[in-house]
Amino acid sequence: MATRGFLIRFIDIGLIVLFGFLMISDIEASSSVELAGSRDPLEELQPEDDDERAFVVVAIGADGSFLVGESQTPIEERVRIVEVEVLSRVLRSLDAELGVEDREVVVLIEPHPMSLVQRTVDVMDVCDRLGLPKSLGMNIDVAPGADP
Amino acid sequence: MQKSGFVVRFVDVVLILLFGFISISSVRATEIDLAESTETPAPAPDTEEVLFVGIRPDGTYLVDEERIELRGPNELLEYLDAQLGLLGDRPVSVRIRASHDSAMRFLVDAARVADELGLPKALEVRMAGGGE
Repeated sequence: MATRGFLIRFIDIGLIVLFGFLMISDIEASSSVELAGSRDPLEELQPEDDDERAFVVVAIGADGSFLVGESQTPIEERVRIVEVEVLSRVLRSLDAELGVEDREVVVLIEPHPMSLVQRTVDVMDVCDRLGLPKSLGMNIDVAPGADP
Repeated sequence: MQKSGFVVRFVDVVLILLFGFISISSVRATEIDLAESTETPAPAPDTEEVLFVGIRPDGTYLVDEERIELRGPNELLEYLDAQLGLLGDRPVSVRIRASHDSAMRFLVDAARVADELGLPKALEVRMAGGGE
């Protein structure tokens, strides 16, 4: 009888410790995004000579807003977007428009040095969701003296 | 008798919970809050030695399981170079764990350091929702 009581208490303790650890543990699934070299994607891909692909630039501002337009569109004519959902719609419609001309859209992501990493990941997610090839411009120059 | 048995078990449960929380409360897996991605797929197992580089929002780099703080890409370059020396001929890659609210310039600096050392690099993200 005493042994049985001890066993029940032992099981109680074991289960509580197990559930306690499960509740407290901070398990999160993570993955990784391969980063290419630091060459300028515009130089590497040579959009001026490419008739089969349309290069759409998504510039991410320091404030997190997106400036979207084809690579040959002047900056002042590009569309400024704040919401990721709107960006998704714009890229989808650009893809549909340019698809009619048989041109494949390639998204060139150009983040401002002070823009947040999350915003770049958001744009990459949009491209993946829409099945658009993307290239992240890592050729960011920081003004001298701008150290943490 | 049954009542005292119940009380004893209840006391056990409470004490275990209490000591469990006390002992675990100092454990902190990581201070880096990764950017969240809904589309990045689940990774394949690593086949090479991975050097993790954490990036805080203020631009500080964290290495060696976030035990060492490095300020600036020059210190990061020195550290990674030293690690490469210790690892010899083993294939090595760099995994950058940037906080979601850190500036891109720090990520780019870390990426350039990896490029200078000829190391493949990847940005670690937290999978959310639709990630497979």
